[in-house]
Amino acid sequence: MSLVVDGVMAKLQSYMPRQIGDNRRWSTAYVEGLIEAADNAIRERCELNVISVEYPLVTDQAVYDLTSSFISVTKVEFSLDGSTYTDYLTPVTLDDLDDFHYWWRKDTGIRPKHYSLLTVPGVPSTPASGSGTKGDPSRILIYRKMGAATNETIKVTGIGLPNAGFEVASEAVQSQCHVPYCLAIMKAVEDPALAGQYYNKFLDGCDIARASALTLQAEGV
Amino acid sequence: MQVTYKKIKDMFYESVRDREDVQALFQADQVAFWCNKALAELAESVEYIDEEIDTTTVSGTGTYELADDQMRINRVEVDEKKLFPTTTQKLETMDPRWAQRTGTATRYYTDTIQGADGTLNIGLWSTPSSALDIKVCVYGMANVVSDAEETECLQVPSWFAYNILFSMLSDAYMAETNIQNFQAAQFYRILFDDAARRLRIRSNSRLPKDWAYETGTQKPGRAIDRMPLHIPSP
Repeated sequence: MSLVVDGVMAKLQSYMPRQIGDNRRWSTAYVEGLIEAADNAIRERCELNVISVEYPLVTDQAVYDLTSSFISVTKVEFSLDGSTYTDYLTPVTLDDLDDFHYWWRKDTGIRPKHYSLLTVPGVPSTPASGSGTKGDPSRILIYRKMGAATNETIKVTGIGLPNAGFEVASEAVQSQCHVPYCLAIMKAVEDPALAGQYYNKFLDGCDIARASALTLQAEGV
Repeated sequence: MQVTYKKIKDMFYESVRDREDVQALFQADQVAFWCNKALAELAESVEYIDEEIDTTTVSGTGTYELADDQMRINRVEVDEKKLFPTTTQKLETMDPRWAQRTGTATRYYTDTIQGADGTLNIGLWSTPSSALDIKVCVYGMANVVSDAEETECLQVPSWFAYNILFSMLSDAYMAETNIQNFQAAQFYRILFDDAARRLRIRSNSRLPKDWAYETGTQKPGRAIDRMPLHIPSP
């Protein structure tokens, strides 16, 4: 187990001696970008990295911005005191909410029961431009919004990306997934057929990494 | 983890063995064009950005123009209540004098009022007789990138951002230049299309709809027992 950027860089250096670095064929910044792209692709395909983020609820506010580290949201929990999570929010669409009550946006309560997601998870905030909410990040909408919030909190859990600079992965995953991905991108121009082979190795590596991690959680073992 | 346009642009130039310069094979505005093309293609095919446009109705005005970078209307609310979609043909059938009716809007239509410039228009029926808050929910397009704001991050999911680079590289190697390479262009395009397909699935199934219950507890009495064990995976 090592930091992805360090471990994969060392492995790529061994595949391409004296080709990565200042005034060489590939700059360090470029290869680090590829390693980050590979890590993102692997974490999206394998769905093994789970993150949780807490959001304190605010009086009369139904929509909250989600951090862009999320790839998907799997569960949302609710806490009255901000520390003990005793309840789960169930996912609904806005059409479901219309069926609950035609004026659901006005409803307030003492604890939310449902949530919905606006914009696919993972979109970061960008400067507003044009009209409407353009530039907004991914958001979560809760129903009912709090009539009077004190310590109430929701905890959003899902598949996500680790914090920048803290990505770690086993040596096997780095060799089977990160390295073939980077080599595929780097070889695509001079030898597209070889790049295709590397990319297939990357796909196989992701399947192996996902399967081996999930096998450890087999039923009752 | 947020990827800026500058990062993508720098990686693009290094990939094609070029540098941002007046002598560059691909000028900066061409690169920005390819990036915006990829963002537009993604927004149109994936529909991953939900935008809400708030405006106010004007007494006696039945149609309202939205911006030109919105893909499709998926919901309209007036005074925070949902309006039902309809068509002008249905309105004609229901009431030949429908266009003269005024009052509180209960339905909206989008046919027969769209311009040739790509700007979305929305029609309310009945024509509002007073000022009301209107909220139009649309599938929108990501913010366009430009060299003037190159340090802003791309408005795509963080895990997806580098795939925008692959679309740009595909366009670059497809162009008629001395580095033209159809096979490389095709390879990069496959990477982008594959990731876009995965994003589409994630966008369509962003809410976990498959609920699993633990053995023997088909209908748990408490909400705490109801945990989504997985989401539908691509």
